[in-house]
Amino acid sequence: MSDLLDYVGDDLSSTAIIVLLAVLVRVLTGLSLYSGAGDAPKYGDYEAQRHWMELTINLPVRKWYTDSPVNNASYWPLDYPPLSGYQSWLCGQAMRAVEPASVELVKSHGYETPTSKIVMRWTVIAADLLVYFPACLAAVYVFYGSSSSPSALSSSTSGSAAATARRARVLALIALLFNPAAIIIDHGHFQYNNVSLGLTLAAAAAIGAGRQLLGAALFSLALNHKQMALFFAPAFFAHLLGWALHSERHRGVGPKILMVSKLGLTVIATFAVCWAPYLSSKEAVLQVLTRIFPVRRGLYEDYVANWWCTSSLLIKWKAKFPAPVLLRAAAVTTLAAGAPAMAHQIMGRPAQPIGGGVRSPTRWGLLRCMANSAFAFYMFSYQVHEKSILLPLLPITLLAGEEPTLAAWLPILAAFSMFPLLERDGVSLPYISLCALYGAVMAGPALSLARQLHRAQASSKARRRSGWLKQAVTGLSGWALRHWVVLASLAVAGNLGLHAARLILPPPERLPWLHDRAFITAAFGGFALTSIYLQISQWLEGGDGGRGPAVKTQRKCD
Amino acid sequence: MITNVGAFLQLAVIASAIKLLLVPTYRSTDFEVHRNWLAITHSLPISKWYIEETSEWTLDYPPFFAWFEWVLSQIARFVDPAMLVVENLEHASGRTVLFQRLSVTVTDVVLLTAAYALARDLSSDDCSSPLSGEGKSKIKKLQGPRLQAGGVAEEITVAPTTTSHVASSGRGHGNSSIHSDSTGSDMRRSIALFFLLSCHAGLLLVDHVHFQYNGVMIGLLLWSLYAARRGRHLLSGLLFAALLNLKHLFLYAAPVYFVYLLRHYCCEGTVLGPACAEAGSGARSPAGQGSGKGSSSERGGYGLGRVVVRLALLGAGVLAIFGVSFGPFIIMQQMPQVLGRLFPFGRGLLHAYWAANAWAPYAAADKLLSAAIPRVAPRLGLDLDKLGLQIQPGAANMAGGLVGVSRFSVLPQVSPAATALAVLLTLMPCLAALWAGDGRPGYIRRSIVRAVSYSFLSGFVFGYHVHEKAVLVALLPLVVDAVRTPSAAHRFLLLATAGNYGLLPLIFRPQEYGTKILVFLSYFVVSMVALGSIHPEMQLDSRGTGVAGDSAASHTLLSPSEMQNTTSPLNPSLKRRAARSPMKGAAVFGRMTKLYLAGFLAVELYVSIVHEAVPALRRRLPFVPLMLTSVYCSIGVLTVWVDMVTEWVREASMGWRKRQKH
Repeated sequence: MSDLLDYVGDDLSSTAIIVLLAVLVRVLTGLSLYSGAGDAPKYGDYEAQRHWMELTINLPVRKWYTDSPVNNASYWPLDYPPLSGYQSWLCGQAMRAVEPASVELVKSHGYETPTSKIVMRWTVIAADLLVYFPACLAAVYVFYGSSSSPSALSSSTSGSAAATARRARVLALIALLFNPAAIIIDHGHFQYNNVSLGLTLAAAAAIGAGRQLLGAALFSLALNHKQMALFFAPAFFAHLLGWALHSERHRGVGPKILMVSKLGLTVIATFAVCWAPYLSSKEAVLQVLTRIFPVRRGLYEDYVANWWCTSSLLIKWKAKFPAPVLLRAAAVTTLAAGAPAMAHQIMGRPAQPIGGGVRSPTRWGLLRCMANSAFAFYMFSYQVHEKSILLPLLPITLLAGEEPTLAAWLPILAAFSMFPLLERDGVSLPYISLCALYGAVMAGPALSLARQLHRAQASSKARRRSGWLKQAVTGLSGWALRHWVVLASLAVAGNLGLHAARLILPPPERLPWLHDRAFITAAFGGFALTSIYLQISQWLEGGDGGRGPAVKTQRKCD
Repeated sequence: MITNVGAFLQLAVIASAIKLLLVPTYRSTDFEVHRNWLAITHSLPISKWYIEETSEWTLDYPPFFAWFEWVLSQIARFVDPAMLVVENLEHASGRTVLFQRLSVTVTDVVLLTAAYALARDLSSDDCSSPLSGEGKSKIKKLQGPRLQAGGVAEEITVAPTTTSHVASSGRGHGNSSIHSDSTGSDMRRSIALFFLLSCHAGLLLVDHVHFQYNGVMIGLLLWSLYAARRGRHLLSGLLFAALLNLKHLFLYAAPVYFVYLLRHYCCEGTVLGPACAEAGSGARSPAGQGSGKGSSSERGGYGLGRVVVRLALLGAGVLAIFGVSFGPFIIMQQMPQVLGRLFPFGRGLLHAYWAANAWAPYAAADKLLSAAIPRVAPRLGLDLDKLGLQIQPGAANMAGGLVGVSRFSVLPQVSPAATALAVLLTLMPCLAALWAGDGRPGYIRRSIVRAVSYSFLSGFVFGYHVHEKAVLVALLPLVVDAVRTPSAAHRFLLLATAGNYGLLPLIFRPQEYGTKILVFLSYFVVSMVALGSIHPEMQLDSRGTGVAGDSAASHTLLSPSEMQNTTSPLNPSLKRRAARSPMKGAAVFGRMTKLYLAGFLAVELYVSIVHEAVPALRRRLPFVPLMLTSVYCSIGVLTVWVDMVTEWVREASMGWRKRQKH
């Protein structure tokens, strides 16, 4: 089976072309509408971001998080950490340079001109170019090695190891750069998730490259751009702790404590720099914190394909329990769901020691732990919205060379889970075309790579020594891969069926939410299976460089 | 042969996805034009189609296109009946926009399938599988393009009538060089061809942003060319006749089709026919299998009857098609009205925005002279009135900018008849070469695409009131050659860059600026890399005489020494470059071409940044960005045209010389 990626190399010019096409797709997506377009008086996320630019460039830093007549808590207050504020300030400067009226204090509320929209769109693309894209390239380089020599390109169709490695690299890069869910939220709906996601990715890359302190600093920056990066905090915490405790570089109690405190100091110092303007008084810090963590919101927003929202069909959580109870329940379940993966990292797994007989968590373990902890938060934490699915997608798309089928289908399922929101935003067309594009490019190559990896896995010696769980997973994944075309077609047909029903059949009057429910329930099925599989695969992870089992939990649409 | 469609399907999905993303972009008045035509064909009887003039955008395409709109309107009424009301001028509801946009995307299937057919056909072109019993005739049929790469020099001296010689030289080459990993490189070529056609930047911008239906019509043209390449001449001719009734712009290729069909279809295998039978049609024509061994008199004996039959067949077919199309209007006695609509007189030589053709520098020179003469002439003591020049005060003329130049102030006027004559004259070498053939099998298979493309290019360069979009019909057929030979790849890249860049001013809103630049740039980069990876063989052959490896399709009749005398700037540094190792990507170009291409960056910088940033420039020279774009693009277009016309002259003279020897 030949596919397009056979003719795409991983050399400099091919990478440059992939990046260029990634920019093109983003620009084209930006042609569409955005969240809350023309929807007075509150508009949507687009207006929120524009309003933050208006606030930050017109008010002194200390007033950004303070209620005042011009900075009203009821009209899109700045509720992201300071780094978002600084970024808004930068973007606001660009806006002012091009179109001063677009960021005039108060007067510019609901400002929507074609020219200002272009500038807004390009600020997101600039964020991609400056933060997310470099992070992707660095992460692919760290996790999949440098590109092969041009001569290896000619033997692209052969099943050699070099070709497999090349394919893995290309797939990971494409998955990261063309993830339809991420593109459509940032460039259609309008947000700057790419900044905090990019910083997180850069942190993972730094840690993967052995620069743990840099990684800690970068992840702190991610946290300071968007508090949602907290989804990954358990993973980074556990991995770095596991590394500090087990790495051969620091044996003995003294060096270990020193390492832990170095990491702690790095984090504190990074936070201090970001929060510098507010550190003068306790009130100022509290002011920011109350803005950033509003507890007044509910368990979840709109329709989210997570545990609470999906199961609320059967158990009316919000009605039956008071908010504080739910908050506690969410915290406990989230922690419980994230605990196994964290334990895996803190204990310094994998079980087989690498080199010198010393255990240390691997970079692949970090990625899987990131996925697990993000999924734990998405499924169980308090106040999740549909866009939060972008967080688990980040490590999973980077894993594309290891879990190709998962990386090929989950982003599409994620976009599917957000469809009710996307439809409201008027970005259904980009949704269709971005998903089609991603599916067309990824599906075939991902399957062939997955089969290749599975064959290598099944024939390796490690298998014979492995436990029953691994045997079972390998067997199950083998079965899934054999019938993959059927399974994937069924899943796609199911999704299309739901879309068709939504388009043609009006919901019954008593159940106006029927279609939204159907969408998130279907997506929840896929997410739940994925998350279970990822939990297991975390513990099956072999030594560094060992290929994880190439399975993808099947998506169910009913 | 390609056994799977994976990569093609992927590309088709990608192309369609991009088209879908372009739905919300700027729509030109052509959108309303086509909406109006939907309304006219749907709500009015056929007798009113060419008379109705509620909207200023009256129906001015031939009847088949009107029927095309009628078919679309049958679906449109389920989407938004309001768009089918003639009086609803400028109606553009969300559903209407979506329907019209999707209608372009869906009818592009014709283009996609044609591209796929050509891609599959191409890969069998160069296949070097061992000769099986049944495959023998097939190989003979397919060897044409590979041949060109073979011993060109020997071919010229040896009388090319014996098939055995031809076959052996072809096969020998196939084994010796770059075709050794033929399946891989074949697939690469096929995919590149499909990409270059299905994702063509100019087509995306004109059809899916600006709004037109070129994709479906160029698709039909490509199907016709595919039929010709496969030796299905009658089918090819009929498809072209149908195409003429969709859009009369395609008339420029009519002379080429006329000569091609008359000579290589009707007269095939007779005294009047080509010296060597057309092997491209091997399976279908007995003479093709006879491979021209029989003497002329033998062939003529049973041939003349068939000439008459074929002529009658072709004539009846073409007449039937035109009858179906124009018959109703002839019966209704509306022909003058219809023709008046199709060929409106009174338009200027140049469109409002000058197409990048020969008249662009002409008009620019006129403008410069009209500005310069009033200042210079008095100093020289010349009286302008005595010279018969009536030049308005410079500034007034210069500020006109956007409005078309309907009259030149200094240079002689150019009449429609003069442009028609120019087009016909420039077609002559091509027609002569087509008539003569080169005496080797597969001539049509090798040459028809280039001939048709050349005729459109000539029409574009010298035609009257040419639209910048017309370059597309010359550009897309070239793709078929571009993936086969490096010289055609040069040509295609240069013409694609100049032609597509010339389309960019059509999309002028700032909202689409990033889109048009990135679509243009991505296509340029990807096609350059793709073609560069196909043609790494632009280098000296072992004898070091400067034969450009595989470039022979366009130079089939050249001796090595002649080949170096190419006048185009495409090949000046051939020899020097060839000394280096095999090239990739950008290295396909010579230095002049590179310089020229880099110049586009400077033009773009001036047009989009410098001109906008300096108020004095905008005030005093408002016309410069468009003029600069047209003139600069016309350099590339004219270069390619000169390159092609010299090639045709050379081939025509070779062909006729060879004929006289027999």
